[in-house]
Amino acid sequence: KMGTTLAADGPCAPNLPVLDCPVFPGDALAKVGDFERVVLGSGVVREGDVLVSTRVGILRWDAEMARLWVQTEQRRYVAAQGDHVIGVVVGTHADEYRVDIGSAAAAMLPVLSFDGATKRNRPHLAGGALVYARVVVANKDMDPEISCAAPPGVSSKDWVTGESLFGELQGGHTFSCPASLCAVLALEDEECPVLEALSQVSPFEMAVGNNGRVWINAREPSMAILAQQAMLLCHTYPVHDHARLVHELATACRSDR
Amino acid sequence: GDALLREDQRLPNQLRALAAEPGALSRANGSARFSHDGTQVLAAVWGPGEVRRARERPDRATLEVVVRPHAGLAGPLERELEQLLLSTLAHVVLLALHPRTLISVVIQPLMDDGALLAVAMHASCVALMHAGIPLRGMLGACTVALTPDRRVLLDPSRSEEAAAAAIATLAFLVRLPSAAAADGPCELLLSH
Repeated sequence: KMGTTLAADGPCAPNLPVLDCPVFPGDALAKVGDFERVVLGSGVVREGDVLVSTRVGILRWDAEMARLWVQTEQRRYVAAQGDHVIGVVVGTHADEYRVDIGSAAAAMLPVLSFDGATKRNRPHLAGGALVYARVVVANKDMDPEISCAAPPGVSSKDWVTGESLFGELQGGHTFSCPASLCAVLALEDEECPVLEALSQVSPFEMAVGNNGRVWINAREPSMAILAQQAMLLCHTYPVHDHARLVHELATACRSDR
Repeated sequence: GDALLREDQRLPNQLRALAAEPGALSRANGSARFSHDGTQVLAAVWGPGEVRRARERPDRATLEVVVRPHAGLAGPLERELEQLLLSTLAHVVLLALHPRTLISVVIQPLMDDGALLAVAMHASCVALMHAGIPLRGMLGACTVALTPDRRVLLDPSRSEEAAAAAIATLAFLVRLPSAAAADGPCELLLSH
């Protein structure tokens, strides 16, 4: 807690002229004293009593967590705690799996980090297997650690049943996409016209990783390709065009057969 | 008067037209094509990524610069360019935020009509910004040529560099001025 507050709408909301504006590396964003409480998000560092941007992007304020961050398109994934990621098993050891999630260092997945897993009854993942997991430990000094156990607040289903939220992803097709698209697809509260339009073409299963990977499982390969192309295409179009674009792609796909 | 104008009709302190194209390459984590009219450089950035144990540093990222000539094999000129870029970029990139990783900058000059080091610096800066690598500020560079008759020319062309008595490149860490500071602070990083 620092100094006096500049309250606009609430105790934590700042009164910054640069909010929601483009910022460049080295730009002074605000004084620490302007906030009652602030969490430094990605792209913001503190130099003395001034908050400085380290990237090119739009300055955002997350009121829920009092977080100041710079929204930018970083191609290389940097692990952050709480992210949901899709990884590929690249090594098996006695107590852990080594999983590639796209970050600089491979992540560690403890062998028993599955709901209801014991030493005798646990999933055996081979090299090349896909997993959907949650990042449990992520900081700049350590290799990231992931887990397939249900987070607190979500009911845990045994890994044997195949109904648990995290775990191995069987079959399907994975592709890479920009992190901002993953953020849009993963939103639970808001509607996603692309996904609704695609579900009307044919039902399919999907997992979205914050690390820029999306997994799609559909009965027909053509549906998986259609879904991939639709999602990548709609990312560059305004929202009201999405339903129409999906419809056009689906008709073109059907007419080619 | 007209006696002051250079071969390409520029004033002695006039820079050439600058052009930047971030995202010139689709697969690199960050890339940029930067040109000062006749001099064009392509830069690609990879990272923060895996690093070999031998080069790993526990407190900061390892920065690597590679300069590939547009024809032939890399020689001493390329090595000198690499060293100068490396020592300058090490002051710009916030290496402490990504320990035990590798940040790799690959530079390829496409056309050389003078002031190559300055253009390479600008291209690296835009490529690093495109990749989202954390930076302390932006990098601004300028080449200066001193002619035998004591004239100072900014951003010299190749023929002007060949005829110059001395050439220097200056690089600055640039931060845009804010409401808090009336003039933006510029830190001199390199004078070569």
